[in-house]
Amino acid sequence: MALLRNFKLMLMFVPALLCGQETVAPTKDAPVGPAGGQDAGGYNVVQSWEFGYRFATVGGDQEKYRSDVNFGNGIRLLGSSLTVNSQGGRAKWFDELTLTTQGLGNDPYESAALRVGKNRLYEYDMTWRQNAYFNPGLVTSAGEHVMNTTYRWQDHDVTLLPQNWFRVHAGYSRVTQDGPALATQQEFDSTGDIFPVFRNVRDQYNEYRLGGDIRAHGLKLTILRRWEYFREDTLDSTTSTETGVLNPAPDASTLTRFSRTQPYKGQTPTWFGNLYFERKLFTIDARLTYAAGRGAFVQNELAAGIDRFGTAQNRQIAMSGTGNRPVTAGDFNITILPESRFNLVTGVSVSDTRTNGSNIYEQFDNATLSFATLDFQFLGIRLLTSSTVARYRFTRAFNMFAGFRYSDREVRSIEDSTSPGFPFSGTVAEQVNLLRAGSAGFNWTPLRNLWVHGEAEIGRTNNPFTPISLRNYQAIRSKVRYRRRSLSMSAGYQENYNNNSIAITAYSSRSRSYSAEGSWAARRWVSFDAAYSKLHLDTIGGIAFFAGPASAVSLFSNLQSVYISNLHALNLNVKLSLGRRADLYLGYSLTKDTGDGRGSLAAQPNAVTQLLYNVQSYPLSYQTPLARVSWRLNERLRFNVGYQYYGYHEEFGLLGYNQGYRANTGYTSLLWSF
Amino acid sequence: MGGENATAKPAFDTEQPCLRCHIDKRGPFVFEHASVRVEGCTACHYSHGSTNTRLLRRPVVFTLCLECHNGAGTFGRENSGVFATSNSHNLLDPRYQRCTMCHVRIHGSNSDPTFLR
Repeated sequence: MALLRNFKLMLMFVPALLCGQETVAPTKDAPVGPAGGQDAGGYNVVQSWEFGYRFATVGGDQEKYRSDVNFGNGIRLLGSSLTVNSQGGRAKWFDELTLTTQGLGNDPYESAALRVGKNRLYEYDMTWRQNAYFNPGLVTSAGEHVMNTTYRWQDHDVTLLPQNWFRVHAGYSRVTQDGPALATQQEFDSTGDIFPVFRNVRDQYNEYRLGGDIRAHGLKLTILRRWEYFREDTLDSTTSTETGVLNPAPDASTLTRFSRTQPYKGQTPTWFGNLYFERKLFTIDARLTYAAGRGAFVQNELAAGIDRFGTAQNRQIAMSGTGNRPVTAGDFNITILPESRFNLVTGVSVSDTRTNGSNIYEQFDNATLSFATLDFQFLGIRLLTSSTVARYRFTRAFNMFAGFRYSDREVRSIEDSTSPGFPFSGTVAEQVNLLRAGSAGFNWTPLRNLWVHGEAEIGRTNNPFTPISLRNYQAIRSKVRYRRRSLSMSAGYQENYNNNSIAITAYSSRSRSYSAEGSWAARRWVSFDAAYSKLHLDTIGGIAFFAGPASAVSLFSNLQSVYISNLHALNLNVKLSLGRRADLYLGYSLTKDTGDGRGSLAAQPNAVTQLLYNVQSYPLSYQTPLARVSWRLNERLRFNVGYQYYGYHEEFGLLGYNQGYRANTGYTSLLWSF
Repeated sequence: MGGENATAKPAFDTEQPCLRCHIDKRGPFVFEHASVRVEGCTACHYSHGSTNTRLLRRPVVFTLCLECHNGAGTFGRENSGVFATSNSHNLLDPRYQRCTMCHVRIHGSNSDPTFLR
């Protein structure tokens, strides 16, 4: 339900917020140039450009720094802003132009946004971003899955006749990822060694959009046609003889040659429709979408070397096939407004996702056809939901709502594999999952500036798909907010509990989040912001696996996977105006996971329990104090300098890795309005 | 923390928004990792931020995998359970602690039902 989704979203956002303190540059909130801009050629122009030099020195784990922060040295256009507005709103080509940029010139996060529009004729919006993506993947892959790629995004949207009853929309988006990477490949049998391979990543996504909407007499109809094209042309190869990654001795297997091409091309043409109809006593909102996803691929893989038994091997795999994923979804909602105090929202939605794929797989070992198979798989997910929410306003200061949701999900699969010339027989399976959930909440304004909100949800499902899925769950969300003139304060509490107990294992998860924040503009020249949150997570899941000395591997089925996290986050900001000439900004951000409170890794009775104990929590801290000063040299020029420290520390590391680092970064710049 | 309940999603979500950028996870694949399609990316990832590498829900990958692949009896498409790990996977051997070192195509594969390539 909405509460659950919002709650989950908030929980997931918390860590992002903790690490999301603004960077020291560019200089923000420092005015430069004439306050009202300048008039030229029938336009009013406001602009500023910040050029500067950014520096960084890093100690400790450089790769982790590149993964988290990644600022380097060099000259940058740290930020810019240009706004051009026509005087009178009747210019020939455009009435509004806004351009903003950040980090251009080799910052790891670069962006630009452009908006151009002419009243009643058109609006054009463009966003462009480029991110350097570096991921060492130490814990998940012993540093053998490194990504050093670049992501680029661009979105273009045009609206014709933006103030008209009939509007036309068109757009284009493009996403690319490319660059070098490392991956691994297991050869030459299912328990063979793992070898590092070089990967040349080349992914591309293009999207075209065309549509329109009509607004008349309380009705709004939107039709959109979208075409998505995506392709993956990633290449894997080796350039020299490779030995195994984690088990080089006594296993003497080697990979002397490896290459793999696996181009994949897909497209998803989509229809989207939305009808909204409004009357005094009711509104109707109906949506329908159909996306016909499909893709085609071939693969050619060649591996040569020596297997773990010392036998020379060469293997070629040739494969081709297709995949399809048509998705149909729609929902229909009615809001009934019989009187001003009461409204009822009821809706039903349906979605149907049908994924099927097939391939022809041929494997040649030592130049001889070992086997050929035809594979087919189908996965269908059909979801039907209905929900009703009623809201009643008792007084102007107090209202309540309550709702119920019912979902019926059916998951079906067909799996088959056969040899060429033999028919499919097909293994068919089906599972139905029912959800019943109820929610209730209130909004209360006991004082003019005080707002209190609370809501809760309880859900029961009968057949969750995985052991970690929600089964018997409850969620609570509450918030208090106070605002008065220059002061605002808020506090919140959220919790989400789930218990999924089944025949062999049980899974329990609990999360609780506490937060408080305040903002106070004490004087015109000084303001304070502070925020603190704590997120507690604990989960316990029954697990089963094989382990033991190589000569006596046995099944362990009565152990538990435990994870405990206590994540504290603190953000403090102070903004000061020092006379007319200088502005000072001080900030401090701390993210600290105290884990389960352990001060050391205690010795456990045996190697298996020791392994599980060591990864039950992940205590770490990450702090970034920063200071920024901006001096006003004259009306059109400011000089800025800033410093930011990044400190990342892991208490114990994981699986033998400790990725701590310290980084001193900063910048000097001139903010100029010419 | 439990996964986002896919049965509670509005039916209008026809695609995971994550796939717009993570093109290589998009598919459709011949061999889908069913939990990815049924429960979505949040079955394994905190998509909006995590202190764990690759935004995973657990600091190491093997606990994440084993919480589903534990031989539990009533789950999965075939109602015969999500498969437990093989007896060849000695968890004290470092290579088996990093499941995705071998199962590199864990989001879905066109060639291998166990996502090895």
